[in-house]
Amino acid sequence: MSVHPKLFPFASNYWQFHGSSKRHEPTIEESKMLTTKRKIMKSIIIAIICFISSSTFAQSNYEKSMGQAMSLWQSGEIQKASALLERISQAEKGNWIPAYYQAMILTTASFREKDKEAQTKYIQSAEDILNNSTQDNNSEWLVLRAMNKTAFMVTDPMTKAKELSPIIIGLYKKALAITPSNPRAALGLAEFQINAKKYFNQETSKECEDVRKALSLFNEEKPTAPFTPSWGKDRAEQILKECK
Amino acid sequence: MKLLLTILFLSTTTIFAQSILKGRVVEKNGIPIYLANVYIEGTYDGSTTDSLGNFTFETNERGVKTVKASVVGRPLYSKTIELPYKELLIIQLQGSENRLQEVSIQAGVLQANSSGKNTVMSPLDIVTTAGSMGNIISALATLPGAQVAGENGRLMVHGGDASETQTYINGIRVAQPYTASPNEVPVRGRFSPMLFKGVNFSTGGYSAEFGNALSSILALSTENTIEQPKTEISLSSVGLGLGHTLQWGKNSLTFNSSYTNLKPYSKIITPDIRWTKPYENASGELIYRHQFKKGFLNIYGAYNFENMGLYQSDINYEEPIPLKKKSNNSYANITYSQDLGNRWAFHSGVGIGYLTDKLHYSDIYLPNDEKSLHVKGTLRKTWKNSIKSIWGIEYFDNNYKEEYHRQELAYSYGYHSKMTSLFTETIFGLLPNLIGKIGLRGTTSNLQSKKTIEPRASLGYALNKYTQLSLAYGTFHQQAPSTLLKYDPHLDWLAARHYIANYFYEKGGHLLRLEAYHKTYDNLIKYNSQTARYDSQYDNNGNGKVKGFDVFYKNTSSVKNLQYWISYAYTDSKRNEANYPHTVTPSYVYKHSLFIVGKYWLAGLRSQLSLTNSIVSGRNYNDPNQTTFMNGRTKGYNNLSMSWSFLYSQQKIIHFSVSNVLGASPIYGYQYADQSNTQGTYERRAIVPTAKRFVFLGYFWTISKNEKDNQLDNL
Repeated sequence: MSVHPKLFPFASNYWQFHGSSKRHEPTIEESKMLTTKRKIMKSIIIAIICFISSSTFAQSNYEKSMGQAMSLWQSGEIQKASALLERISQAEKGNWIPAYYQAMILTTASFREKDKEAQTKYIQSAEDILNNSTQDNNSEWLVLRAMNKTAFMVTDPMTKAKELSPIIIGLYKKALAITPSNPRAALGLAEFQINAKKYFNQETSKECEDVRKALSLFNEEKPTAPFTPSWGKDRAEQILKECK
Repeated sequence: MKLLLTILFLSTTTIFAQSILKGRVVEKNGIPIYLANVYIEGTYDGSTTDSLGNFTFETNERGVKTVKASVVGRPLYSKTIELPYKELLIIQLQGSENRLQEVSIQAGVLQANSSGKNTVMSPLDIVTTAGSMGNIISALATLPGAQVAGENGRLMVHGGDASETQTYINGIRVAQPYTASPNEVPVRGRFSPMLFKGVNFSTGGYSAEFGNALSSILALSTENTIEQPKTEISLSSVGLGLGHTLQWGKNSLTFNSSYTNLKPYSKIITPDIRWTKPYENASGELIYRHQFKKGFLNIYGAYNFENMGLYQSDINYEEPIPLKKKSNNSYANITYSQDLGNRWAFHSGVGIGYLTDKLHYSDIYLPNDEKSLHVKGTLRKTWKNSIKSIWGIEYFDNNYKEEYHRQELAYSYGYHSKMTSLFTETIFGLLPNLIGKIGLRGTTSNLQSKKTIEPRASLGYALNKYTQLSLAYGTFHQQAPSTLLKYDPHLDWLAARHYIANYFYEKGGHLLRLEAYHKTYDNLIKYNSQTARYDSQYDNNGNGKVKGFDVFYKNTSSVKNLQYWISYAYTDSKRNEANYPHTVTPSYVYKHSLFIVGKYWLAGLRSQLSLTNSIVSGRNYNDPNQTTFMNGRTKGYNNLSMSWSFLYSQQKIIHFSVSNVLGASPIYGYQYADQSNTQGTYERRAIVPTAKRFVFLGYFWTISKNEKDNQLDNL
């Protein structure tokens, strides 16, 4: 079979470089040897292409699986989404994003869960993930820690609010100190304080202003890598509506 | 060529060749585990098990790989297999190794922690219990097995007297846990319950880690975390308080100071006391914490000054007698814990106390001082999750000196006690759902010739997820209380033996605890005079038996925002001690006591309303006019207290409480004259509460650094 020069340009170059300088008519043995060499070369090339495409397939496997986890989450399959993210997380050591989403799914599930025992399990499982000290200076991670502590506080606000409120506010503030442009930290802090103030019938105009600032941060945000946290804009808009 | 290409193509696409891994995840007894996450380590390949424990997933992996199974709350399961794996992979999880988390020994234990299973109440419950006035001791009295004598204020457990309970903070003994007070004015616990994250109150059969207490141990613990920065201000009808916490790096430093003076209060609401110097109390506390990489240091120091003067009625005198008392108490408690790795933990601590008391009563001057030292070191080891051991050594040094001055008479007496103890205890899983604890404690003292060896054992069995049964047994020794030891330091050890059975049920918002016990006492102190005096004859020929049962029911979920508990205790105590001619029920015991505590949260008013109603049976007293000893019986009484806490803002709380709302007039006992009168009868005076009602109004303000500024300035 002939090798189309357009597909394998270097093939023809190879022969150009390494072919004999003297142009002479090949003998039958030489022709046969040449054809075999060409075939071997072509096979090697095909094999290389297959390897390259299989390894790039594995990379997009990450994105495919993360996407799968997101759709499982959206369809309400909390446990399956969490389990998939756990698997991705242990395979992708050094990448905090799968574990981030696993903790996020568990924390948001606890807000909706009515059964006390299941709720506590969600909060505790998320907390076990979030306690990882390698992420102590990760702004997004700290925001999630604050959310998890809020979920815990809400299970028994009477006894827990006094102790946990300063800790939650401290986490949001630290997140902002690390990344002042993190819109989720800004929104989280403002929302937490709005809820606390509303409970005491105090006015929240300053916090509403902070939500507006958070919204402008959302608008400025540019997504970097796929799956880096980018949620929260809708929430900010919703809170602003209630502010007016 | 085509063949070569096909072979090459096949060799690359073996990467895409899928094999299927199928199997089940089950418990040791075959019960399927739902939602276990089974996967191949280092890959995404895996799935969760269905309700029958079955899993199936595809994988491209080949060769020797590790399969993992993760289940919430269980250790990670690991197994190496060769892929492709043709058979059904059955994964059998060990009966949860951490049995100790499922089963706990409830006999003789009442836990009041901020959170966690098996917790009976939290420190906040203590503060908000009506009638407690923030006094840990009064709040503990609403729990089964604990009693507080109204005129005394000290904790008594399961029919024992007040000296039989010892108080510990972070494993270190507190020699003087109560404020000073003259007779018949109740004392208070010195420490604010808000300082502590854990209150572990034993009703008997306690761990070999503790000793020198015939009845029980009150173990308070602070959490090993750095405090958040804040300022706390409190103003109340009886005094004011100020506290500030600094936090930097891995350190926190807290100052607390408080001043109490009953003078303005006694002018508004006149109690039945004639103060010459209304009760005054000034105190300061310092708490320093430092978090090391693997250790934690906690330094607590407190200084307390108390001053009071009043006219005390005494049946032996026509006119009430002037009484003056000044007391200075310093206490330091330093503890250091460290994780030594490999599941070893080291905990050590030192407690130093110095108390001086000066009492003037009529023409008697009675100064005393007590220096106490406690040094302790323990090593803890967790073997496989089911087995935990502790070894420890401790040293107690107590130096008590007292003088008695009356006109020309002057005596001095006291004791210097040096005690060393060694202890070890191990808790281990015996069978699924059954754990056992066995401990041994030995003590030697310079004052007592005998060495004591105290075996302790207990068992805990989890009937099901919600129910636990437990049994406890132990022998306990205690030196005579300082009120008697000061007169005769070489009095032998008092001894007690406990047998306890306990049933504990907790599900949803219901908690039910039933406990039955039997205690035998030996070597109780006896003396031959009307009151214990310097020149009385003392010996250890007394004995006693106490049996009883407690019922405790707590409900936190039936009615929204309502939490209540009911606690009933039956105590049948019979002792031959002190100057009793024979065995009787002592006068400090309530045979029946019933407490009903309710707390209701009124969301609309942001308030918590709390009511405590206690009904106790009468107590015995000895009427010298009767031939039968200890034949008198006071009437039982009912005491209703209420409190109202209003959350004014996130940082401000207003608290109002009234004790004895219905105005009961209990009589705790009688003081009979030392001598009969001219008609030959002994006159008496009723011992009644110092104040019929106590009204308290307080304002508490916490300024938390994190909540102070709400501006997102950096935006």
